[in-house]
Amino acid sequence: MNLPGLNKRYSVSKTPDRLSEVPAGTSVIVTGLDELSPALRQSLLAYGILPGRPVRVIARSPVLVLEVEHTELALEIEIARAVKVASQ
Amino acid sequence: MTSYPATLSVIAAPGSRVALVGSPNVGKSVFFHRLTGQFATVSNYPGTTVEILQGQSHLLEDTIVVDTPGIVSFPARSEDEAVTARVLLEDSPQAILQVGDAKNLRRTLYLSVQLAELGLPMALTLNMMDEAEARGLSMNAARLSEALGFPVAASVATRGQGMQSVLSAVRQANIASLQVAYPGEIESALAELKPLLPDGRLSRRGLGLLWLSGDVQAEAWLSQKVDSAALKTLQAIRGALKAPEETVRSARNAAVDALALTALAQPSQPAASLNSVKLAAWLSRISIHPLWGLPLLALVLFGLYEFVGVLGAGTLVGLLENGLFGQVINPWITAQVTRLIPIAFFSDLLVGPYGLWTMGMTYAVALLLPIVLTFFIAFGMLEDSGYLPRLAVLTNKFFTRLGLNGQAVLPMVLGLGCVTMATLTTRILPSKRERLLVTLLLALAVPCSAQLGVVMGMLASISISAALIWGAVVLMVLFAVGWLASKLVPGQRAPLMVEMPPLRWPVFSNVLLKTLARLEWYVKEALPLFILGTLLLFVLDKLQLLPVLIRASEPLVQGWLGLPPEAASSFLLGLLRRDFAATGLFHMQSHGQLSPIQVVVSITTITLFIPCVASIFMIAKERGMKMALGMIIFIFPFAMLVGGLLMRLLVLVGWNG
Repeated sequence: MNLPGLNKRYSVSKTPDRLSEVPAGTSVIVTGLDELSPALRQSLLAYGILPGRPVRVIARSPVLVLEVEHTELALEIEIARAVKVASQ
Repeated sequence: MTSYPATLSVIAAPGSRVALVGSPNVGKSVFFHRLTGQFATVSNYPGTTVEILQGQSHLLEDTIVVDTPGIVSFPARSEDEAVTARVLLEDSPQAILQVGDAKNLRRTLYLSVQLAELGLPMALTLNMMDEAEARGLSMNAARLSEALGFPVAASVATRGQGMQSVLSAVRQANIASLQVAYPGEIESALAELKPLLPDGRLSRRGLGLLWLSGDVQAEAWLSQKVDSAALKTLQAIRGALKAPEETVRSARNAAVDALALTALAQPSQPAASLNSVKLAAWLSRISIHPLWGLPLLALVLFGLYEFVGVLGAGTLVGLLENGLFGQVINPWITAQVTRLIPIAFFSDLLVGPYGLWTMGMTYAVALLLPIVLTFFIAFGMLEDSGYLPRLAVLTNKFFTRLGLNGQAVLPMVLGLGCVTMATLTTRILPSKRERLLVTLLLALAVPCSAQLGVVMGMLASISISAALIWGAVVLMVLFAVGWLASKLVPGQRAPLMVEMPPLRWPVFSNVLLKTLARLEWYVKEALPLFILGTLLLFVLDKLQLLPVLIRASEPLVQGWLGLPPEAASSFLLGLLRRDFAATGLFHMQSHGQLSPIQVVVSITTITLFIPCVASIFMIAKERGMKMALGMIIFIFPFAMLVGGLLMRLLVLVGWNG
């Protein structure tokens, strides 16, 4: 059974390694940032989205809502795709 | 904190200045208000449109307190944040009071470390302690103060809690003893940099770190302070390092983590949140929900309408315009002026049909002031409640279709109050492209409160369907032009990223202070433009040009829009202020000179006009003369085109109210 569809389903259920894939209510640790526009990168870092810091996903729609320390941040999935994470 | 000798207070000298520095939404303005009382002066920071507040503090030996724009951390990310950097670099205050958010300790401490490195005397207040406690956090300010080497005081500024300890913390402000140790390559670069940096009150180590981190404001400042040879050496030292800003940031963050552990009495305990926090969190979730967010938005808009539309534009304007001005002040002034100045030309200039007093001042003070006042109060409350960023999230999808993101909603909502002011606030948008698109939409399709009141009144007297047609056409124009413009204006859409501060009850005194500052702006900046506009009308009238122009525009108004010829004069006034036109049309409607179709067509056309001469001046100032001219050339004919098409469509379907 080497159907591409099955493989795909398997890859969705594995532990998320991007912030954009983290389900609501889950906490993860940030491990790194991909290439981003300098302004966005600067903003993420300023709000404490840094390697080693924990973040929690509160909601996923209409945009991703994160809790960093006790700040709520709303950001589009597109930005979250550039944030690498690992489970806690 | 008794370990700091109070006799050596850095703010003891007369004329010394304390800068309030901190993230947005941490209560800086509330502190400012508490420290200075009522008396504050608002001014634009030199060379920018960013406002800063200054005031003398009677609680702090008459020290001057400066309220700086919110900054999350250095380097600055916006024009606002840049002003804070410039205040610190160029004006080097005698002391810094950092206002920090107790519940976001790491973010607060990151800025503390950066400020401490500048080497100015400072103190820190962990504000909004109530919100931190409600989330199960408890802090040890004394231990933190020991680790940082400057006073730290807990506070809840909105309730005045901890003010005494904040005051004594400011009096005892001193230079931090904490020094973050950076990796070897950074430390040796700093050692090389130091002799090249200017002498002054700012620490060379701090300046060196800003330089290595590539802080644009620090670079601009330094390039004026050192000669070009030294600048070359500075650049060479930085160029030899690999990503120094990343190295510096990681070292700082490690220091911040250690500090946070010191400060937290029970480190990272799962929050035993209070019910009030849970309620606010629930409401927060509702407010951005694609479906449930809409009834909440409707409620907010209804409140806005009741307060600004009914109370401001209805009751207060009625009292002032018809009552005080119409029956008392204006008849008296007219009598006095015509008695004292027998020459008709000059008395007309003041009290004629286009008189500076009877039209200009009456209009600005009796009609606009109450509307603008109530709107500023309502907007200030919305700002302080934390609802506006949630509105940005809620409307993000809509604005995405227009090539924008949800942050564009803030100037748009402000535009419902005053488009001229909203045009100024487009500077909160990050890119030039977004500022241009929003300015265009504001000028074309956002009706301001001055006009909205009249429009609503006229449409309500016909039928609901009249109001719906008007609303639908304006929204469709907004959407179609916005969509098209976003395709034509080059550049990329910026994705949304916005902080959502907790939902809070607004502090009335803070709202009042902001409202007063904005009213001062209105009187200084906008009011003269209304007088100027009136003068222009007066001159046109006296040169007998007004009747000529009215006659010239009659074919267009009569033939294309299907309106009675008398409407031409209203439309001409609408070129200067569209609410003049709305008022004129209202007058015609109440005398039975307009059919329902004519009302809807004329009102829709006028709504699409550029709001007023003042807003054109503002567009020219903010976006440049060429842009302003381009918008005039596009908007007026386009509005007429839409009006004419609407008339034909309504006739075709046989709509008649």
